[in-house]
Amino acid sequence: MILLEFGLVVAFATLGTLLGVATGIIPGFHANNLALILGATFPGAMAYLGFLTGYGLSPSFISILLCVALVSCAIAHTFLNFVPATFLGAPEGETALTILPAHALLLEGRGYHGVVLSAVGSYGAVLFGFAFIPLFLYVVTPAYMVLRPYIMWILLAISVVLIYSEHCQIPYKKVVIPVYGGVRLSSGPHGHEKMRIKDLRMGDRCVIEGRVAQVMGPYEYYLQDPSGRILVRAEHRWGPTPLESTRVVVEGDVAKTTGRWSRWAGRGIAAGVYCLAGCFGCLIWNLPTISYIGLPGSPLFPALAGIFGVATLIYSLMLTPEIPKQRIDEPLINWSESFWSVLIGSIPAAITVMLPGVTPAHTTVIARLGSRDRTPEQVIVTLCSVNTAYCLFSLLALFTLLRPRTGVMMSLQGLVPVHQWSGGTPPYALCCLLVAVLVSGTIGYFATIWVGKRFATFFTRIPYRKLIGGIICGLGCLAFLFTGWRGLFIMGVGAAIGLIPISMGVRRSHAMGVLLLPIILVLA
Amino acid sequence: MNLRNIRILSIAVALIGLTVLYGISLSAKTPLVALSDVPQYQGTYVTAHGMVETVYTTGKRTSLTLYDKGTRMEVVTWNPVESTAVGDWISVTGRVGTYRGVPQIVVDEMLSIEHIPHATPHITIADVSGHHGEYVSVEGRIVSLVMTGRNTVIHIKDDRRSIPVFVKGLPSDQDQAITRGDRVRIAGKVVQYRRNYEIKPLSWECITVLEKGEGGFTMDELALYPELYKGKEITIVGHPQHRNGRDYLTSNGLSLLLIDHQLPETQGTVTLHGRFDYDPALFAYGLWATDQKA
Repeated sequence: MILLEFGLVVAFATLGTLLGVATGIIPGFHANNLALILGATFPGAMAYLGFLTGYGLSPSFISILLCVALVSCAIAHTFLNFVPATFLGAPEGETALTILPAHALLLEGRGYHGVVLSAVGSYGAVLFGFAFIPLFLYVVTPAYMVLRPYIMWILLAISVVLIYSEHCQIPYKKVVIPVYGGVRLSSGPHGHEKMRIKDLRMGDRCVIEGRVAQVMGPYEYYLQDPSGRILVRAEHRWGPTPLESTRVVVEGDVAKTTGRWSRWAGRGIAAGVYCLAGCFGCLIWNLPTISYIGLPGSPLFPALAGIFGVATLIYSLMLTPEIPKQRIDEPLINWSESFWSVLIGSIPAAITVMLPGVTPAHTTVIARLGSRDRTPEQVIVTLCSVNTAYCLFSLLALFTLLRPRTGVMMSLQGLVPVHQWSGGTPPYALCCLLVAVLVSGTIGYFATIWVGKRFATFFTRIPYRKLIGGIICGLGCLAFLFTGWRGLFIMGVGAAIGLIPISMGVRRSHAMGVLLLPIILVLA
Repeated sequence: MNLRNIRILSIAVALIGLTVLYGISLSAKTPLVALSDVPQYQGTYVTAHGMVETVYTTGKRTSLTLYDKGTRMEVVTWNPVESTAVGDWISVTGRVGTYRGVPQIVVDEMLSIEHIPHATPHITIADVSGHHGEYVSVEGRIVSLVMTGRNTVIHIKDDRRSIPVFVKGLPSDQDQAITRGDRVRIAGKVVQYRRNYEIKPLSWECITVLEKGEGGFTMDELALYPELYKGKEITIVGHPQHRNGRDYLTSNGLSLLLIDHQLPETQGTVTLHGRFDYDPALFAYGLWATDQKA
């Protein structure tokens, strides 16, 4: 009987993994949506699998089998969803203010390398997660019990830290960048019409004459005329830097540069994005939506798909990149660095899974604050380990804290009796689900590399703009089917909000205020 | 399109969109659905009305069972619900989910639970038989209050009919100062007990005293439970009446036979004290009065 049960768990885990592989490659499709669909089909599935009771299996074990499929699907989804995220939605490299590490590799023709690294990160997180189970049980769970009354303050503190840690610097000061050979000493009349410093406008090509008021450094000085002063910064580093009080004529382009307040301006924009997304979250939190296919729908699906999916795709559509031919060779992996990256990704995931509203996106930012190596390769490993570790630890949190932290866990909680595990032998259901995680992780690792290789081979043959347009339409259709016209509108507003951080150059994770702010307000 | 235009466009669309969403959220209230239809709204927010049948609290989690028109629905909330008691009619707004395959409403905001006054249909005692199995509200005066072990049976009577009310627990356990003669409104479920209809409130909180009575022992109680008072000393108030050569004490349409006692000719009420017992010669219960006050 034990062998039969084990065999069925492995079989259902494989089935769920294949489903996760299929859903993972659909861009913008979240595992929570899958959980909603599967949750709606479970009564029918239970009836269909009723024949298993003839083999001496209890109905509760059959429901555990369905949960095994659900969990393995969610784990496989975290492996595979990196594939479309790598190959789709990349912005034009030169103009983009922020570029995701996977997109950076794609634009170098190394998209496949990114996929392999993501598989390494995710599988590392699965292995690390298993090793971390005792620590999670005996340290994280008691810590949660102590910190539970202060969760609102912790969430508030995390929000402040995320905003404060924003690195983006917003240029606001006018600067003249001389054209090559555009600086010379003033000696009598000049051929071009000179402009006053006060009248300079952004993007102008100008000729200005003035006295060097202050030398800031090599090829950087303030030029003053009777109407004002302006910074001149020579980028070509040609010729000597004029001495103070020398009269010079500068021909150059007026641009913006960073100043003393640029960092604070970046933080201000981050706070603005957080608040805007938070208001958006508060408005849609209780907004009723109607599904046209009778499936349960939540306004959060179109909102998150709009902010993080459609916005990236629209940005990529507006600034279409030239995707080079992708290299299909095995990447060189720095295993020791990758080990630390997995560790740095998984530990914050184990901690943040305690907190409602803190998503893997926030966890990634926290993990990156503590990472030493910020090369795109190691960032990918960290990012993917966060996603998979978060999924695994949310399963553990369900059984240790009795708190469902993801949509998948909420569905699971409604399907099997969840008995709290506070030490000793784990509950039977949890044992089966952990086996599913291991099976799903192993299959998911190889499936990710296989699918990534196929994607990298065939991807450049597909017309990029049509593909992106088709995916946006597909996401729109999904939003319409799940949440109706109102959901479609929410997705549009979400996409507009998602475009703000991308076009401003601040981190997209600030838009996660869509979840954090309403939760903080509910807890307050 | 350059970055500057993308920025301006995205900010403009976001602000306009949020304004429109604000308008939608003001106008679009969650649909009000009957408890029986709640499972059809899986995953969405709904508002439903019902009467609180049970309240169960574990830690910060409170489960309420709502009842309306034959349907029960579990409501789960993580907010304090001290003001909600069994028997209250409330309106809840929450997301419809399932727990172990059973639909439930998950309320995540405190404001989502509102009390609805007098939502139980109010009927007369004569109409009770037409509402079998439903929660109703009836009004009447308490004519008897009898404790049976750990429970209490109250008889209430309106102008025409009386009906028993079965309440779990004893009145002394509660803060309710209910006494005989009180005019009360009782909300409870109409059930049948030994082929007779009775009202079964969920708790003592479902009994509201509308007007305080004078208290004391009533003739109705004696008529309902003669064996309970057989052989005991009682004090009773009524109007003296003489008919068929015998004296009676009448009150509230009921008559008590007086044995071996002559009543004075008076139109007012008298108070008699004596032993209540069965007279085998007359095949009737009667009062052997020993003391009399005009």
